[in-house]
Amino acid sequence: MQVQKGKYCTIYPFELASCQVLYPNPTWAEKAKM
Amino acid sequence: MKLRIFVLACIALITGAASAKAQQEVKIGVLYPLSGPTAQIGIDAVAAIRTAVEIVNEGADLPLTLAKNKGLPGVGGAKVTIVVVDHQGKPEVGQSEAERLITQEKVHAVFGTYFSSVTAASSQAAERAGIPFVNADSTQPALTQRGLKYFFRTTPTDETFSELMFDFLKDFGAKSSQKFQSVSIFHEDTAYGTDSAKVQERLAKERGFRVLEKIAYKAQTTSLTAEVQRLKAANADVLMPSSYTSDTFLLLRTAKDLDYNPKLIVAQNAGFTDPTFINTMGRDAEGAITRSPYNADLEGRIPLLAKINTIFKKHSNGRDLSDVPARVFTGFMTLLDAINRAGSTDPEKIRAALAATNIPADQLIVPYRGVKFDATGQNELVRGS
Repeated sequence: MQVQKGKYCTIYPFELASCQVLYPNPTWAEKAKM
Repeated sequence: MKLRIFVLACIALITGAASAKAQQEVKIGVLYPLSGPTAQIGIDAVAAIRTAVEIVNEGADLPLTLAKNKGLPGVGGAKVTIVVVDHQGKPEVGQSEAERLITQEKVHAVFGTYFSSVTAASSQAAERAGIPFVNADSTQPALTQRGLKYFFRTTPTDETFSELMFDFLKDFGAKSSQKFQSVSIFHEDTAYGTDSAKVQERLAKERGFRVLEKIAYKAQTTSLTAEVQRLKAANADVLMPSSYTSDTFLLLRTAKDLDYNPKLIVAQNAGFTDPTFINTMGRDAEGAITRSPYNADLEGRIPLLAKINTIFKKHSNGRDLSDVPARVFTGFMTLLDAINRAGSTDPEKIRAALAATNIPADQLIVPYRGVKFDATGQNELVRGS
């Protein structure tokens, strides 16, 4: 699972996924603007 | 003569009363970290155990075998009680407390402990005493490779989890046309981190990845600056940390200070699934990937989840189920199922019942294929998603 918008989201296995994989990981500068 | 008959009658009454009393209580020793940086994990684990105890002792409108009665029907309706102990994350405390639970509290089984190192030490104490020990949350592969007779583990190990992590890299690489070719392995130096890293290094090489760094650090360290500088210089495609709570926070804070931006973080659970992780790190947690067999968004696929979570929240001060408590609930219900089938608190009968466990997936709140132990005591129906 991956942290997206402040929550854990299942990303794999793809058949169980609730979210797409966020890639690449946002940089610190990008996170500061989220 | 009359006096002799009276004395014998009294002895019979006392023995009978003791026997009936023995049927009224199944006592389990519970070991978790309830102080220090991982306290919240232990507190939530105990809440999951109290959830299981409530369901079994009071009954519940749930499609669970043990929710249909009040108490364990196989043991004459015996109620379950727990004795909870804080092991402080220290193996020596876990071991001595396990011994105390067995010799003084007279528990019928021991359950815990989250930390692999503490589980290793305390389960040895149970083994020496011939008391069953069930673990639901320690993932060091070696724990079930020690030849112990009384040790059973329901959770996947870091071998299973790491295989899944590399499967993810392969599948996501194919899906997104990204080529992941290198990893940096970063781990704390107790049993969990050391063995996790060992497995990951082997798998990385087997699957054609270059291991650019493999860095061990002291579990209680207060600085990771030098280590993160090395990670930044290596700039691997994937960073794979095996870190507990405070060291996970320190890793990310140091990476931010040094402007190290890993393109992909794929973590071995622990600190990255600590219930305090997202709240503590805020936006800095964004994008972190961690293996976990449980997530709340599986609710639509696991019908039991919502109802169990409602009961869990009564015991957790309103907190939702998360990865570790979901696995703990599963493991504790497995132990109670075995005691119920054993029909007794006799440790040999409980051990035999554990060995014969066969719980189907529809009785679980984690997406395992079931619970069935192999000859080493490892659940062979795990799935690590």
